[in-house]
Amino acid sequence: MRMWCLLGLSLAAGCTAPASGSLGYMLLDRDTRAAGIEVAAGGWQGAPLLPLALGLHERVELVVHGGRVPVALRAGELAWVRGGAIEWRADVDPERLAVSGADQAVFDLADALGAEVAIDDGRMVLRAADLYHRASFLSVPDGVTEALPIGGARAHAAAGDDRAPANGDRALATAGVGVGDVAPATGTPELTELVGFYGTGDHWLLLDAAGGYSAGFGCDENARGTWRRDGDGLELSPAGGTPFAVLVQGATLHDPAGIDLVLRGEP
Amino acid sequence: MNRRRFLRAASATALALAAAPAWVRRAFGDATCPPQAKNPRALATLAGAYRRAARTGRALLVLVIPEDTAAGWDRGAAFGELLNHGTDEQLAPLASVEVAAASMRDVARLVPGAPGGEPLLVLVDTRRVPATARAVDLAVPQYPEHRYRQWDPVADDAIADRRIDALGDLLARALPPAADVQTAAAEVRARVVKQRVPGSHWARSSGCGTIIEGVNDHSMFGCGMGHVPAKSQRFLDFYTQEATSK
Repeated sequence: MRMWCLLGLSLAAGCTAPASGSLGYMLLDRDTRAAGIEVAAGGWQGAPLLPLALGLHERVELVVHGGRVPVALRAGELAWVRGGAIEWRADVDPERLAVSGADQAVFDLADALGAEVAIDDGRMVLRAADLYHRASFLSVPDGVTEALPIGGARAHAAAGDDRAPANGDRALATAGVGVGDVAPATGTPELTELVGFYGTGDHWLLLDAAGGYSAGFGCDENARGTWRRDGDGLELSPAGGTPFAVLVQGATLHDPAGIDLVLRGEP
Repeated sequence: MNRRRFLRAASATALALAAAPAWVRRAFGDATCPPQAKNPRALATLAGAYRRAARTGRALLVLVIPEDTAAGWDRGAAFGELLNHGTDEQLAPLASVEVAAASMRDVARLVPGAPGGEPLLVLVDTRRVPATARAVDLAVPQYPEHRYRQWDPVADDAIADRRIDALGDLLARALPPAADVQTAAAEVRARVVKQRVPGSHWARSSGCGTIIEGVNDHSMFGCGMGHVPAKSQRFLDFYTQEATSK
């Protein structure tokens, strides 16, 4: 059994490649790996040179010097972390990968993956069915230096697309002793206005700055889930529950029955 | 029954949840809560600071309140020394940030990507969701263990100055420089020296009890034998509850 299969069991649910529609992909470039940024998913953490194929249900995070930035993978898309910023690639070819490094090392990698090697425009290109899935969590032979995706246009940047990444934010920085590196800026500016602590009476709802929510009564937290903008309102998705919509009117979350959760904590 | 009035008045959580509209019940779940629970004001205060930062295009700088209260008093003193006695150059970088004090427990709830541990400061980029955060840390120079029993103003000032310089250097490395240092420093003093740093109170003590500004300004205390170094006498108090303030 291949090493990738053993290592990927917890995340990819066995050796049979899942349907590509249930997978998203992540790839870290050389600068990102050199900066110490790692991927955490399903209890595994590392900075792989090869792409990862991960289930969309998996909690995937970028780990930056102890800080964690959740990343919601998208079906069939590649989250290519370049210089610390995520660049989304749609329609990437998950069966091909351009690999650079010493020739023998690349051939050894191809053997490990059961992939064909072709020379395309001067690059060594590996090709195999479900290549990204096979490559997930595979240790690469010494001498392989970089893997690049093939195909795929830069995904969406449409205004109003909550998932659209902020482009141009190369946020890796080096700083003096005692100052941690800047985490990658990969999120959505428009959502910051919704982050906050809302309440009525002793009921409260926190929309956190990572797209999660927690809710409670008094000092106790009763529920968690995720939130996202939904048109002019908000969609809350309780953990294990069905998403539902809430109206946003200024600094108030409002439901048709007349219960308002009002923003708190600001003078 | 008027649901809104009922929600406000109900002390039995289960009944309150039953009376709430569907989305409230679904969002909050059906679990019950202790009836005497108080609101998590500290989290609301931190979230408010985050929103102000986002609205004004600033980062959020969190002065981290450690779980260990002794460490917390020392941090409060160190921040007080910097804010009250720092130079324009040392304070000016704070003009680029919204400042608040919070525990790492609350920071992590608001910004799940925050670093672990209890660094001195956490700098949160509020420009987008998910927000990113980084630790800004330093081992603050310490006074001698028995400083409260020793009267040596010169030595006290020397240590205070080292602490101020260390924090000033840390801010200079972590934050962008101000274009107009004097103006920036004046803005910082007006915002976080004359007023409260959200999540804390300004307090004063010279060894004879403690005045929490805005809480017990006119209290009188009997004096003992202790003293507080001059530059530490106005400090940030992290532990007076919001509910007791005016």
